[in-house]
Amino acid sequence: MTAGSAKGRSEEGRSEKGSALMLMPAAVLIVVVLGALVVDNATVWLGQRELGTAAAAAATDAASAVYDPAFYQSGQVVLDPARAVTVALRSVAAQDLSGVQLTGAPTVEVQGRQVCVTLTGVVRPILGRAIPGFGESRSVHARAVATVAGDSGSAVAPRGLC
Amino acid sequence: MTAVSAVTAVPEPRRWRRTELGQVAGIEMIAFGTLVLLIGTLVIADAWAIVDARLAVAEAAREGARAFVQATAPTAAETAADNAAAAVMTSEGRNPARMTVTVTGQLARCESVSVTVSYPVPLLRLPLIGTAGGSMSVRSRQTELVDPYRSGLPGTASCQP
Repeated sequence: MTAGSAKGRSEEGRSEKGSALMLMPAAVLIVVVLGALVVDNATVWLGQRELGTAAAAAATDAASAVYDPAFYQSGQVVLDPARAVTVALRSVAAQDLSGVQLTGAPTVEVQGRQVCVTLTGVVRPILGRAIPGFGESRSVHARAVATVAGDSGSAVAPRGLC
Repeated sequence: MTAVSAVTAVPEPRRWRRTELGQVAGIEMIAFGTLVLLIGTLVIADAWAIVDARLAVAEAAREGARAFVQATAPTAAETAADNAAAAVMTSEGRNPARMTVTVTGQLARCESVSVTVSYPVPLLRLPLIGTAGGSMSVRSRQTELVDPYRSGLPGTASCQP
């Protein structure tokens, strides 16, 4: 056992041989985590789409709440605000929003023959819950406008309400 | 001859020592890494398959409901919903024969119509083997109101608030 052999062993201990094997599971973990983030982002996008679809359906349904007396007496096409809000809220409640959870009550604005429905919700990640720092819920918003067709009635600019 | 055997005999212990480098951190890490890769890939693939199928059925339900409330006659409404949903699933690369469409409600003024589309998603799909591990049904429901002022339907537009 000489000083030379001790030095050689010390250099062998510091050698980087085999370190690539340690990097492999780390690299695999990184790939899996990135894949999980992709899935979670797709889930958020899906939730946003569901919310948008629900808002569009609610606005379209609410646009059927035409105020009959005004239409049959003067041919004016206007929405009955109270009935439009009721129809819109009923429509939102009937939708299957399994991917997103509504936060707060839907906002329904009615003006003339135009109705605007605004929804806000949160989407909880599927795989991100297992990753520290990525498990927070994401807030999503959706807004849809529907305008009742008709030549006579209050003039509303397209998407002027929202 | 003696010199040659001396040359071949000396390097063996060195080579043996070299090959042990990284063994402790290596062999089991390869197995562990492969396991993580395999399980992680399966989990992500399954999750993605469900998200992708959910996108497809949500689209199919929406188109089905729209086709139902816009059908020209009550007798043709359900067929129109089926066809519209099947067209969406086909365009999404899915087999419409495996899809189930359920309609509640009828084509009448002010009627609320719900179209539910279900599609089974295999939890594990392996190359050459096919599906394994059962399947999960992905479902989406879309509800729409039949326009009270539309043409082609009998009755008057008198929706209850």
